[in-house]
Amino acid sequence: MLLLSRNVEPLGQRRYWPIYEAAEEAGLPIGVHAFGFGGNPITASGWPSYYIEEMVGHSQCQQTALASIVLEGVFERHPKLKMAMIEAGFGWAPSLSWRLDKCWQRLRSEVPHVKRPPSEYIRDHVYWTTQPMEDPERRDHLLDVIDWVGWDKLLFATDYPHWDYDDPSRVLPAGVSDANREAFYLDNALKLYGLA
Amino acid sequence: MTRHVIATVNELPPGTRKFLTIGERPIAVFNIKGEFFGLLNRCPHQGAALCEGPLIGLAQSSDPGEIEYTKLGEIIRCPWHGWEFDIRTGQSYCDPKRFRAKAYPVNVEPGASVVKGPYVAETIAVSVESDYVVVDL
Repeated sequence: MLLLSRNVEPLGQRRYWPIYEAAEEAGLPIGVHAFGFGGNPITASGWPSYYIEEMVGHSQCQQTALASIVLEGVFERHPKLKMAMIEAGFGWAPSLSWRLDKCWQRLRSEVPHVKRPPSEYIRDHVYWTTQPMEDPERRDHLLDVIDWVGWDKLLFATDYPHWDYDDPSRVLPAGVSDANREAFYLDNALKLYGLA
Repeated sequence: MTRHVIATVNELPPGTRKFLTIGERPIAVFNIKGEFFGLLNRCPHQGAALCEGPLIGLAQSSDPGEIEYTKLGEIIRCPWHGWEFDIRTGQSYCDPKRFRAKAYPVNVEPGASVVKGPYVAETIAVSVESDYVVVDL
């Protein structure tokens, strides 16, 4: 089931709960894809000036969606629900999770329905598609992030024929094991979409 | 053209909308800051219940950093694919020439003239004391 990251309200809120219930019951994963428009400006300070701000901003908008989903207890209530974060990057996954965990430790009385550390929900339920692939100067930094996210949770995506598509032959640094490459290019997607 | 009385003005305060069927047409009537508008509740794109979408504004920009957000609450955004239509005319913003939502004129009539007719008011009891929301089909 496809949702977008920018909506009328943050994606974890009550009006969207019937969708998560239905998806879990049907055994379908939810994809949260960048873009969409709910009438809200695309940043928390209003409308930005440049298209590039929208492009980098997708990760911000996706973070809003994911934080809302975790903190409104969507994963707690739907243990079998799987979700894919699509086209908004994944480099921010560790830092958002660290911040969520730290805040949760001090503020968890406000969200008693969040029974486990947020990072656990994210690790258990969330898959990530790669396009646009993170491209740091030091490729080992990228591998560190993927280690955190999990080689079993990352799905290659190309977004061809968009102008910023990723070439499958260039997207991974050298030194990735055959098993991880198989998972990255094929097995994780087969598993997520129930085709295995 | 028939004129249909669909509510008293008090039943449809500003910021609210009423869904109804006239003949076989699903229609929604909106009160936007005291003005009334009617739209066919069927998106010209793929037939979604257009009128269940949020009312948003129109964002336009002539230059980077110059943003105008106008027509607040006057743009209806279809819940299915986000297409935006002007509530006053049904005009779409994605392709004004090819796509338009069907708009119906809606006016307020005083009870005195409504009582006289000719109006179709099957379910509303009309009296001279109230004002009525009237849709022209």
